[in-house]
Amino acid sequence: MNELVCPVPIECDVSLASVVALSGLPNLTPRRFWQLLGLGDPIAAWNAIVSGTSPLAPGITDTGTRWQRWAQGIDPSSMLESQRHAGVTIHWHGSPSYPTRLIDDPEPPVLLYCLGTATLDPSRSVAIVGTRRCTAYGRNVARELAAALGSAGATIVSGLAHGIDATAHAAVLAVGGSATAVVAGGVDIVYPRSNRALYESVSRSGALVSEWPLRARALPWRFPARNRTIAGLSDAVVVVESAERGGSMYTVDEAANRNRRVFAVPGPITSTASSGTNRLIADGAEVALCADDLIETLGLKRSNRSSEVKGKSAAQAVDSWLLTEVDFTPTSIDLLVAQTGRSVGEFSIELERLLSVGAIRRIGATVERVR
Amino acid sequence: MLSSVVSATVRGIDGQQVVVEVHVGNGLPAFNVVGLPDASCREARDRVRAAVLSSGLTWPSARITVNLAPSGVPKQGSGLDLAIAVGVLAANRQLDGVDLDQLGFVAELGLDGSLRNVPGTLSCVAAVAAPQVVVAPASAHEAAFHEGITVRAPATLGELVHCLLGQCPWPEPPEVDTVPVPAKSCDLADVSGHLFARTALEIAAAGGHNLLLIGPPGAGKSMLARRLPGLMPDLSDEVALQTTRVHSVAGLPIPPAELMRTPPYRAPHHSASMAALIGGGSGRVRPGEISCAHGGVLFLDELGEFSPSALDALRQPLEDGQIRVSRARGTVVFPADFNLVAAMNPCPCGFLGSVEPCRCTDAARHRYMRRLSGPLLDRIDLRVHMSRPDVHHLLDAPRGEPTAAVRARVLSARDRAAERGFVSNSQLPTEVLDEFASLSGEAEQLLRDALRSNRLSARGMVRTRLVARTIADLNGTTAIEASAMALAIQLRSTPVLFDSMGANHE
Repeated sequence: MNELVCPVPIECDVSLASVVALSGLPNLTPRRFWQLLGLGDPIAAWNAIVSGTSPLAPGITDTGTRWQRWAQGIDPSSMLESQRHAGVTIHWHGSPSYPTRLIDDPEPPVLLYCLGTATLDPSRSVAIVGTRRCTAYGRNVARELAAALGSAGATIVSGLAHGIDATAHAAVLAVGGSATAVVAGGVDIVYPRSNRALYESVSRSGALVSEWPLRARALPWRFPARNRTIAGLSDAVVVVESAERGGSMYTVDEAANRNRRVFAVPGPITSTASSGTNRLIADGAEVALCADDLIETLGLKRSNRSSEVKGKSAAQAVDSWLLTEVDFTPTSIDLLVAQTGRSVGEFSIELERLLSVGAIRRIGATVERVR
Repeated sequence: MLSSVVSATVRGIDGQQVVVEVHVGNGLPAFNVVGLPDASCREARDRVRAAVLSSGLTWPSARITVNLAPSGVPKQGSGLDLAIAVGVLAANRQLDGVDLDQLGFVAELGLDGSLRNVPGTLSCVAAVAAPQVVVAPASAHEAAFHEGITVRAPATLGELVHCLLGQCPWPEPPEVDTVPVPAKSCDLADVSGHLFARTALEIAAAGGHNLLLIGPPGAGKSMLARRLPGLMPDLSDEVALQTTRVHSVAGLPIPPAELMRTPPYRAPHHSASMAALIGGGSGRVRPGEISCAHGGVLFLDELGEFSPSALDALRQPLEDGQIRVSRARGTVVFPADFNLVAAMNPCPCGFLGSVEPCRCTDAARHRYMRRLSGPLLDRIDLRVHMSRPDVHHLLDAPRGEPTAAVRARVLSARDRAAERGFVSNSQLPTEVLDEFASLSGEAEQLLRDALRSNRLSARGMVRTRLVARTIADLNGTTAIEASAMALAIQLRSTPVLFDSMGANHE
């Protein structure tokens, strides 16, 4: 990375506008962005691209023509104006508001677009990441950890994707904590679309962060870069559930490169969704056993949010012939009826009783123990 | 010369008497049919002429006018063929001395003069209102359902003329095959395990509740649905007549010796159009699948694949037990009182809510669930999430309770429900809930807990009490006990449906 010229040489609005325009170039990886800026003045770099004379590394001339085509339709100053008009704040490497955790990053984002009210320099921040195809277990753990860490004062960083990411964001906002969502498109792009409600509450009470300007689409090549920003913005990364080749593993690698602590949540060895996290533990990652442990290890202050915990320990005292048969993983109701040999009516009474005290949870044709 | 002959046409599932008046007079030879015939009715001209000629009879070389009275009502179908032919022959003095007032004619003619079956003969024969009715041999058994009517079934027009003129005796009606067709072996004993689903099926039969079966492919949803008609009581005289009429009009096979007594089972494919499902069509209004299922079971497999408009159209018949199809030329009412059984996968891969892991993304689940309309779901009281039977379970399990035993319980529960003065528990009005569905203290506590923990909505609560009422009827208790209430709640709440819709934003 010796070609990095940090900070970005921005002296006036015109050069900022050029950097903003450059940041929207198709297939511009962070590394190539720095290479472009290393050529000198951003205004000159932009003009070179528009005229097709950018002295790029050999072998990417094809990209050069694509860039030129894209750049010819862009007016940098109006592009900058539209970002500001939408309420997006721009932090470039070298500006006073740039997140301190990223300043000495091995591959820092050139600039960050930010929408929202929360600071990017919280005293403590923890990333909670995981698979989109999570299980009910993963969802519960993500919810619990995010709520506990959030009420202990940590900002929860994640990617606003389906599954673990969205659950963690929703949980931390629910306890009044702070959420930072790093997204792989412009901050005005709701991706995935079904997360619109969550997206709106994050932009209202948290922060949406992106390396790309408004209207940039969430394209596959942007996700690895997004994951490294998640790692960079956090003090520690907790992986709740991930397959062995999941995208979360990329975040873990980036976290390791930056000397961030990596915690993995153990899961059943039969679950694909936990194969990655279990492997991480085998390879020496720290084990996240409960929220309190994490809070203590990370030096956070425990909050008095104990009402829920108490409610659950009360459920633990429930004495039931059914509860002993129910597993912590989904168990088929039909099988339980057959095993216990009770009538459906009798079985339903017990099921209802356990459901209403919250000792078990019913998901479709299965039940599982909660505590 | 003038003649008039009585016949009938079908309107909805009812017959409408038609008087065929024929005038054979001087003028250029012509053959006209007036009185709002539809296309198949107007084509009668060519069929009738050919049939008369091939039967060795004389076709008058004169101006023939046929009027179908009442002339303001549209006539449809080919059932008037025979009456027109007889009318022409009578007006042409070929049937002198025959008392046509005592006879009605309902049959289509072939070019060779043979008599053919027409759909809806059952309804037409009733409408003809004559002591003797001539029909095709193929529909003789259908016409014979009406007592007090003598059915004549000659094979051809030629034979009919001989009989009318007294040159030969009326042929015996064709032998009816009275040996009952062995029912397809569909016994509940074949279903092992699935205790909740079996119970739900029993409750659906006893209380007339609609049922939704959710589960992965291969869980046995269709297998269960197929066994519901066997649990239901035989059709009453009134319903049996209606159902048989619908089947006759729809051109479906009907039993040889008597009215349909076994509840029908209809399973339309999910590509069915709205008209096919609820009835309609341009021109002639035909009964749809829901009317063919009258008194029985309508099974909609892959509920999510049906077109949303077709499913929404089901809501009104589900409430009223009949469907009113309105067209420019008038409104037709078809009976449509059926038990709905719907089946679907919980998600595209089918394994959401099973022990096996689901491989769908949240977005895919959302899309899948969005296809179901809330108002339709509201009308389904019983929702069972089934899982695939365990392999060991499948091999070792004892056979389930046979249909006969379950049916006996259903019949006695129906009797108890009938004492309250309503046909089925699913139709008990809310006002009489407290009178007829009083709860034991324990049952009330269960209901309160379920409401408090948001597992039931207000509407869900009312429907749950009705289901609990049916369960109590099956158990033979007057008040609703805790076990009945708990089971009813379990069969109403389907956590997976709502989980996948809002889990991200709880």
